[in-house]
Amino acid sequence: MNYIEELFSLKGKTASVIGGGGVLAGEMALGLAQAGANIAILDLNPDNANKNADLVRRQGVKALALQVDATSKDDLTKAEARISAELGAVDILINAPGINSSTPFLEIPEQEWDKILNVNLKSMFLACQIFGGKMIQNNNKGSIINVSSASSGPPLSKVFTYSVSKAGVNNLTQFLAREWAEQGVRVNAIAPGFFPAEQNRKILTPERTASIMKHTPMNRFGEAQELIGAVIWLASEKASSFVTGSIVRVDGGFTAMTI
Amino acid sequence: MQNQLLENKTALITGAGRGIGKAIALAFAQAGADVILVSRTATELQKVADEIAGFGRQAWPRTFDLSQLDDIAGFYAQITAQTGPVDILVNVAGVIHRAASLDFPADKWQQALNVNLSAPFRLCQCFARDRVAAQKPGKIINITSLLAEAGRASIPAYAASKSGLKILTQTLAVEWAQYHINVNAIGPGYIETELTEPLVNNEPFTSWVLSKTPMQRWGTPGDLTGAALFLASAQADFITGQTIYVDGGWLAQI
Repeated sequence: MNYIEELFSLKGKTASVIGGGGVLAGEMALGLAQAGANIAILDLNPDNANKNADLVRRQGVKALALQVDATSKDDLTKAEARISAELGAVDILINAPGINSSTPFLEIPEQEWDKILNVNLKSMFLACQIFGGKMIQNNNKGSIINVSSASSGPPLSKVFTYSVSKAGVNNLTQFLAREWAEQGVRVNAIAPGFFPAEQNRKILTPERTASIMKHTPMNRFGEAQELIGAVIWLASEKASSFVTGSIVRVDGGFTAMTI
Repeated sequence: MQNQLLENKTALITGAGRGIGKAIALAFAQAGADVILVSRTATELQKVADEIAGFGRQAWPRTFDLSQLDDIAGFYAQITAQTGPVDILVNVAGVIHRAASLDFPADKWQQALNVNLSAPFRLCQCFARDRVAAQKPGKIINITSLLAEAGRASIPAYAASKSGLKILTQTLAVEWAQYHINVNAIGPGYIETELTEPLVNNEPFTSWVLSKTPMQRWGTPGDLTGAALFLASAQADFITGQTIYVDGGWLAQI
């Protein structure tokens, strides 16, 4: 193993990717697999979970697809037990479930607010309790990576509840970073800028795209695989040993222009 | 990930004789890069160059005093005439002077601003002019500090220069994205180096550092190499204008 492989290798590690059936999280899972980790893909949609687990398996690692409602403590508890039994104790947790809506503020029904907060934020609280709790209980070092957003603050227009939930994700990340630093469980977030993914596709009108590009110095969307490097760096205990509570923004310069 | 993350790249690293700069230089060489090593002290640079030769990479040790701002452009042109173009610039060199602000000496203020802020800007200019003329991409990494985020007593020049470097990083990132030059920073927490050795050995200071660092330890230069390699590599192509904090959780708490 050369220097770089030794620093960034995840060989023998177990990673759980919640929301792993999605485009961005699926690519993250693939990156973790390429670095040698065995992968559990947890998703509400079993077809997407299976599809991404198959892609992961082609990297020569073990993969498990599980249908999980990320807002259900019971589902997550059962998933954790099964992953531990089949792949081994979880070392890396990627929290990436996410939904979005552009309902005008005055018209947002309570149910929509509840649903977005549940899927985007409560899910992470529960997953950190269950998977993070096991890392602490097993006295395992671990790396938790929460997927935040460029809209976590200051917020973009139109996506009110989503932005509130992502601000919560940043706060949760910092709280747990401090809480678990001494036990060696690191908690960080990745805040992607604009990547064409399912959450924003319906919101990206030509006008909105033009406005985003005016505020993205690289003048382009990100590509899903451009998130892999940050994920592997944060997942690797050797490569990011002193990094916790960080919000790593992968956004083509978007936030460098934000007041 | 490819076997040699920085294969065929040439990096210029200031402050490369010891501490953080040395750790990054050795990491880059092990990742396949050839390295131009800059600092004021020839003996230290030679040792780093010898280690790099042991990894089978080329090292060019060059002594230079970065406070000589008007000589920087000539120095840069002279080195690159010998080494060929630079792909990665890492501004590590920095000075710190601790004194109450009421009596802070003017010369120490100017020195910190020169070495910590003006010299990195001049080097960024030299680097980017070459890159733009050659129509080649580039990566710049500036080493800033926690103290670009929070006020602390008795380090006015250091804090002002490092926070200046943080915004300079953002300005250049926005301006040079069109040339495919990524400009990012790493903000270390308290790191155990030759520069901070007196603080590490100062019991009250170390107690304070540990009380503010959730990981309950001083960082080491090695803690920064993963972030530096990542930012220097193609894996970070969509990241620009960011400061990545490597601080044991310091900024995650009050």
